[in-house]
Amino acid sequence: MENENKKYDDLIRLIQKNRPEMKHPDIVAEKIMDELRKGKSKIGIREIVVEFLFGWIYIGWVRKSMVIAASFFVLLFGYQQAVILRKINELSGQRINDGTLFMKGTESGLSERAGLFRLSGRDLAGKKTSVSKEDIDEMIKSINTLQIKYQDLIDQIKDDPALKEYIENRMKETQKLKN
Amino acid sequence: MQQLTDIEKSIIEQCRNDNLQDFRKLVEKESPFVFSVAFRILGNNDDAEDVVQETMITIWGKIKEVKSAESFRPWLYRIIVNKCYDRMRKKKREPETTADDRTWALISNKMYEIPGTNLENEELARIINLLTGKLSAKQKTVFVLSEIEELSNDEISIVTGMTKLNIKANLHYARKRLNEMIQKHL
Repeated sequence: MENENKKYDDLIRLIQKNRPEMKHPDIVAEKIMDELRKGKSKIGIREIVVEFLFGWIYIGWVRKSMVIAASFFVLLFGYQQAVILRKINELSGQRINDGTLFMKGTESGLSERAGLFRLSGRDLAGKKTSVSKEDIDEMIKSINTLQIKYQDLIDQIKDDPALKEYIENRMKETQKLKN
Repeated sequence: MQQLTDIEKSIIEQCRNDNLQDFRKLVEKESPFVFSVAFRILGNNDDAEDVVQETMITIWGKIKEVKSAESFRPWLYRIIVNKCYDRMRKKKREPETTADDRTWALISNKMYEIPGTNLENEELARIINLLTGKLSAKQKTVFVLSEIEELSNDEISIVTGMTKLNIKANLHYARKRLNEMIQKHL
């Protein structure tokens, strides 16, 4: 270890005592003075403006502060995004009353869309809800089936006086309870 | 850090009054110093000469920013280091490693066998490139300023804008790397 340190010190000393020398200092000096005489080297307005506007970015502590600030804003952005997403999820699970029907978080995504619709500050227009032709056909078919079954039931009651009496009594009792 | 002589101080004061003739004196006085620092950092004669020119031209353009003659030397170091950084960033060339063995033999000769003989610039460049070629720009700069130029950590901090902790870390790595090379080759 000691030997290594000695070698290291010797090596450093070797470089220290051998200071590199310019081969042609006069020529270099003359080149510099020529440049200065041409007037190119005096700092122009453009350089002054650039230095004034952007020179500060070379200051170490300013750079570090900017990195810290940038990291902070990235984290803040991430946090805000997380909060917004959570709020949207909460809203999508809430009941929505648009005047004609209640909706609760459905798989069709209707409630999510309604949630976003509400977030945008608008009301759901219930009166304008459109119904497809297929839905109307389905509804008419159900009514017809219901009517046929109702007619069958009436016919059965007519044919059976005991059943008719029983049903009339039950209906009277129900009416009394309602009153 | 090497202190300025009274003559140098007087020249600097006169240069601050836009006197080009006095600046010529300053160029002649300071160019060898600028060259040696740049050469030790860059390990290249032509690059070091370019840095001398760029540094002296920058000095002429900004000499009025120097508050006093005493603050000239740290300011000068800072300009040299920044110019060297710019050059290293532009070049980013791989160090020559083909003649490692010959360079180690040269180091060995100069250290033990023929003491007192001076190294030529080319030989010195080979040695510097061999020793610092694998270091980063920061490590190289800190190593040269601390070990070769013998600046204190406070002075290096002023020159480079690095924290003392950062300087110590860079210097530690550079020393470690050099010791490994010494152990292997010397």
